[in-house]
Amino acid sequence: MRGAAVTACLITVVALEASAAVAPKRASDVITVITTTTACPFAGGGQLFDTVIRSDGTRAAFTIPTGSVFVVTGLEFISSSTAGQDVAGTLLYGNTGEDVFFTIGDVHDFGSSSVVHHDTAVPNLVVRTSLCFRTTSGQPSPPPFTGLVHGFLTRDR
Amino acid sequence: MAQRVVGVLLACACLATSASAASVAPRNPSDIVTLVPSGAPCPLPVAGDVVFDVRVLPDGTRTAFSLPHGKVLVVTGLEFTSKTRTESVAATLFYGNTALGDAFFTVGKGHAFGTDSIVFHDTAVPNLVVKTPLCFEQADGFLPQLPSTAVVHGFLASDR
Repeated sequence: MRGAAVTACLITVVALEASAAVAPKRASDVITVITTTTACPFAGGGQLFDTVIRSDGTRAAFTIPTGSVFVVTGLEFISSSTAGQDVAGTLLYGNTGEDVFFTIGDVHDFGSSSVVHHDTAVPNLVVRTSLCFRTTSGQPSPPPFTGLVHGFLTRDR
Repeated sequence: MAQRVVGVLLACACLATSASAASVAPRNPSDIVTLVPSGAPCPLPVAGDVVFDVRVLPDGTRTAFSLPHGKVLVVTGLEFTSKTRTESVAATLFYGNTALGDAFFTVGKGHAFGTDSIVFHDTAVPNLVVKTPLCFEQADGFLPQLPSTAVVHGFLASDR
């Protein structure tokens, strides 16, 4: 009788685990990653999300741990805007340059300069490689930018 | 003793039942999908309409996509880019097996990019459940349609 109860509970635990939605399990799974100045490893411009901002405010080099994936849930970027134009942003897989998320920010007048500040949700983009960010405003060379993504690490299964 | 064991069994049964009744959500990261069109037309084509038939994998590579048997696609997000001859571009998602109509509408405004007017638009999709090929159409009010790129995000779930 006791054995049956233990077995039932084990089955229940497995069922609960299998039914759990993809979500961060611990606060430490939730991460914020920023671009610095590392170029994407392919032509066409863009920068790698190469630095994690820890919850204590410190920074460290970022790579996805073996056996995990990075689930991106939010993106922000800031950019100066040439000729007062809006700036589009694209997330790309760092190993192939595949575009997987598009957005655009409106230009805002900030004193004597034109600046784009843009934030948007990302609907659970799963990343197993490096992740790149690229901007464009229709000009020959895109204006300087900083990109920031939010998300969480979870087991790759 | 027997009473206590029965209690444990009942508690386990309740938990298992609640697990099976969990909300519609991806169970594993591999359930989450990002789809793009290859340029192939929809099964019921209108000129320029395309089907989401390519999956972009988390390692950045591509593979052909069709719904696995017994699964549905739950769409949670859409982005598209396009040139425009007017001020905006409307876009729709629709079921690829029917000409009865659209299942999701959105519109993106044009942005001046040098000499072009470009639409970049991203939006959430409120859990659109799809059991057929999924198609995309965009229009700026003139024909022919201008070239565009679209991405949908979502997840695969059991069809039950």
